[in-house]
Amino acid sequence: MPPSCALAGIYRRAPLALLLADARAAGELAPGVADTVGPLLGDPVAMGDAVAALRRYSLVTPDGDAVLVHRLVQAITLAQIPSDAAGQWQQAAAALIEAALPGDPREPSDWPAFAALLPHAQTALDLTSNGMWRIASYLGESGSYPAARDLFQLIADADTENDAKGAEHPGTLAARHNLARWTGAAGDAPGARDQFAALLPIRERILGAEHPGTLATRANLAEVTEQAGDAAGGRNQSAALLPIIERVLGAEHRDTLTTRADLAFCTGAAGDAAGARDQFAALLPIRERIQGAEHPETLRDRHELARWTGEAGDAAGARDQFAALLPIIERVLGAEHPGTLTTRGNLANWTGEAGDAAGAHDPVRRAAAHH
Amino acid sequence: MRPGPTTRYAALLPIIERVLGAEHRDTLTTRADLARWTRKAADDVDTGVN
Repeated sequence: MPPSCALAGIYRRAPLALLLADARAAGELAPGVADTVGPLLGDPVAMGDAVAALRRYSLVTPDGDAVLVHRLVQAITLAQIPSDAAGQWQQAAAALIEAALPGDPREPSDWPAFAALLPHAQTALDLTSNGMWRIASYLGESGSYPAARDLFQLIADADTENDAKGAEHPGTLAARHNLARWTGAAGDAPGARDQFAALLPIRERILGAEHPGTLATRANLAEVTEQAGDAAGGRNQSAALLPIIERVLGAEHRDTLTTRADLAFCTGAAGDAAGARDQFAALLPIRERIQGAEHPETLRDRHELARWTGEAGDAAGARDQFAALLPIIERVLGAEHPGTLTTRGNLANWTGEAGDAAGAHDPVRRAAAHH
Repeated sequence: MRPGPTTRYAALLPIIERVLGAEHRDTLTTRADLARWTRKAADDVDTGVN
């Protein structure tokens, strides 16, 4: 049996081209594993030969850039690895997955690679690893809010119980920050507000009052304060934070721009729709220049500009902006991302507010007329 | 031929319910919006608007 079977045996659908693309993982491999796996890294020809050998034994079936491994083959292969080598193979699998995971979970173009690696990461990576952190962030950014919340809960718990970290380690506090963030996104704004409020004094004490992590917790606390129903409180918190975050991170740092967006949103929610519209109109060109026209945060600002254009009295303008935005958001984030669904809801609402309550030739209108 | 708010909300509701869950605040808002625009469309028909 070719030894590379043992590696493939860990997976069901193994995205080999992705896992073996990066030769830098070679340094992480134990000597016994490095002899087998090392030559395959970054060498598509050697990988092709290895897959061909596995196919001759009917152990794998090619599937695009991946191979499919039957669960029985998987179980038997695993059982045949000598126990002293099992740890080395497990560590090799983790190293390859870690190296293959993209760097920025906020970048939608990297989401397909995260999706392909997700089941393997959940099997092979340690909760306290950098790769598991990126997986958890990917889950949240791509719209699986409860899954992101639950994984950051596990990461925060593992960090707290880890002797090398403990409850007040900066990494543990960062995990708790993300737990609070995805708790809010999953629908529990008061719970998220309470978590951020409990975390803030600890981050201030451990990291310092002007550390970027502390400022991020303040920014998120302001945001969920508004979401929990206190718009004026959120606005005041954002307004107090903005000059500090501008001084510490710079006027065009993405976190500064996000705090400006929070302030604009809270301004609108507290009753000044025209003010919110004007703030988003001023922010949008900067965001487009710094982060690109189709970055999710740029699209969120466009969404808010459309919304506050409507709230300030121009329903037809809001409708037209949402109609132009929807296909872009749908393409970038995917058809079922919560951000896409919210945009669809707003397009529906502003279509109605613009005076087209029933819609031209709308079948539901005819149905409604009979009830 | 342009779909109105009721059609748009009726298509959206089952998706948002599946993605976010039946009791997420955005699902509940969508449900309320669908009811509001359905009522408005019916009222407009009754009062001869459009």
